[in-house]
Amino acid sequence: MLKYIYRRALQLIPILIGITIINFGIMYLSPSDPAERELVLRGMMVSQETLAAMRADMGLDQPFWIQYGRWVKNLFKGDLGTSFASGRPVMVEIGECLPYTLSLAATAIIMTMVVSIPLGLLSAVRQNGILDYLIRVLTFVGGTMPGFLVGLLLIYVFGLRLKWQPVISDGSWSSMVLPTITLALAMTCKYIRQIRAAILEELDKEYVWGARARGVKEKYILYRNVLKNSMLTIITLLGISIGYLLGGTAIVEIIFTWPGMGKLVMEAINMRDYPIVQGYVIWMAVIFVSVNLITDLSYRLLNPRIRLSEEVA
Amino acid sequence: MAEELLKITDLKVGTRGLEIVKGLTLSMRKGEILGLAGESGCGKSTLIKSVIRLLAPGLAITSGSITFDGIDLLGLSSENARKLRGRRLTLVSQNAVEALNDTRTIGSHFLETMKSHVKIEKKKALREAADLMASLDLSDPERILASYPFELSGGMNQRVLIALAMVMRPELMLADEPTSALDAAVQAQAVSEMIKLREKYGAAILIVTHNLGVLAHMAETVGVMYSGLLVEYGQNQAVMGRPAHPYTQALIAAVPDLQGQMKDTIEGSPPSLGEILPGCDFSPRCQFAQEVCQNVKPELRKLSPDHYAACHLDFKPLDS
Ligand SMILES: Nc1ncnc2c1ncn2[C@@H]1O[C@H](COP(=O)(O)OP(=O)(O)OP(=O)(O)O)[C@@H](O)[C@H]1O
Ligand SMILES: [Mg+2]
Repeated sequence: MLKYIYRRALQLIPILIGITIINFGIMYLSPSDPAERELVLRGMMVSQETLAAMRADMGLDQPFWIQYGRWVKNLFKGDLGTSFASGRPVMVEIGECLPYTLSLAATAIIMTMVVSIPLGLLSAVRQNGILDYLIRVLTFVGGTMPGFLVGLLLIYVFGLRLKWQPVISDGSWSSMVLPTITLALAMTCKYIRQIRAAILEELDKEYVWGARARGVKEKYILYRNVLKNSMLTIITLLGISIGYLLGGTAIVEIIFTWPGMGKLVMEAINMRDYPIVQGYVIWMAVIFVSVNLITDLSYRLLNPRIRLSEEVA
Repeated sequence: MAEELLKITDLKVGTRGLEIVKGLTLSMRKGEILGLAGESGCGKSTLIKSVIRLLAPGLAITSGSITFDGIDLLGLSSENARKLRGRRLTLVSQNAVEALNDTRTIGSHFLETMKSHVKIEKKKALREAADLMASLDLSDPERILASYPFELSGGMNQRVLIALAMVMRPELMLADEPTSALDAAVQAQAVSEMIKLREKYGAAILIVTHNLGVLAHMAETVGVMYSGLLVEYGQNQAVMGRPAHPYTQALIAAVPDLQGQMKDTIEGSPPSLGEILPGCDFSPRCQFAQEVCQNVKPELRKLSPDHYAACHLDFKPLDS
């Protein structure tokens, strides 16, 4: 297992090099001139001479690779540059948004799991019953509603009409309820359908009949065998969702004025705030690489066939 | 006569009004080994699954009765049927690799089976499982218990499945082609394992097999099924040695010789599902068929005290 993690980590190096080169390259080629910005920021006169002096000062006249090297070195020190818009370090800006994105992602995922696993299981076990039919219709409807529509409806009903929830969030726990529901609704509907399908497929396998022939209790069959084997599907879904949520969910964050990563990057794009966008891209790369690694590791834990073949090799 | 263990009376099983098992009657004594043979599709698996109350969703028992040691199996609630399954009667299926869950160890299979029927602590349960496997000549039971199904060979899985089925010492084991997927040497091991079950634990065995060699070797009583009915039934030597029904004779003649060549396959095919013939279902394929065969259904007739056949013709049983 440790050997595997180590090997996976080595495989990451070329990926990270690729991402940083592309990321830096975009910045390098972007039409805005950092030296000019710096001059304006300091209130100095912009002329050919001052620009050239400032470029030399900032190392911008050096070749691409040297600039890239310096940028990567700063990256490792946690320095992603400063935001054009606010003049504050990118790290600080991201650091402020991250807790909001993380907490919203966590509540949405937890809510999705708590609702969808039991309902997916129930729907599968009662296949073609009234309950199954009801769940299938509702998840179909819920799954096709676009997120912004759900969000606006929730704001209208609970915020404006019933006044149970603040319309503009203040970052408090209670103001998380509506954005969480908005995010979780579509995911839950998708999860229920997929979990139902995975469990039905598993229930059809011969070992289930084999266990019944030995009089094994249905709850053992369901929880220790069928659900466990279906976990692979659930984890694959989870990996995708977590990656998506940690990127910040721009639409929901903007609708609910939730100060997370999605909102940050949308505003940065509007204002051509390249350092922030760059920091965001790095963050996404980190998420996807780690989510992938964790997903793979859980496969290994759950499926002894992969685990054992790896140990022998 | 020894005590009766299983009694199937006039059993009919069908799907959407089409009969698969068409009024079959059969009984087994305690500790008896009964072998069933018959062409693919004649309803052997359906019969076995009816007994264990695990018919596929589309199939249903439409009439008849099944009693097991005096218990009306068809009248049991599904929970009571579950309690009986595995503890007093059990099933071993053909494809062992698929009948076991690949993501759990053999030991967990034993554990969950035992815990479904009795309160038992893990250590004791695993020791019992190991003892059982050792008594059935499976070597290194501890290693087997710690293994996953995919780590064992197909033959080993099949033998494990047989031991697993026996862990609660049921009185009746239904085995649906338990050796068909195995090569000859492993087949012999699985067969001797089943014979040992009977010797050591007194289990009765109803074995379905296409392999007449296996049948002749281990069964005391042999039944031949055709198109949802028993066409011949009786003591092993009587049926295998002096087959009376033309279908049994053809089946025995069709056994591959040592080179694996089928000597004489039976022409034609049985009536398809839902096709109802007024007379004997075998008559269209029977070289001896006469008018009566096409018009009247033959009943099982007693030929000798231990030998029955459902055929109108008064054949002198063929000596072979
Ligand atoms: N779930 C089902 N729904 C409808 N028909 C079925 C079902 N299962 C079996 N049958 C039909 O019942 C008949 C008997 O099937 P069964 O599996 O009992 O035969 P078998 O004697 O065990 O054959 P084999 O030797 O191939 O295992 C076949 O015609 C089959 O098509
Ligand atoms: Mg069959």
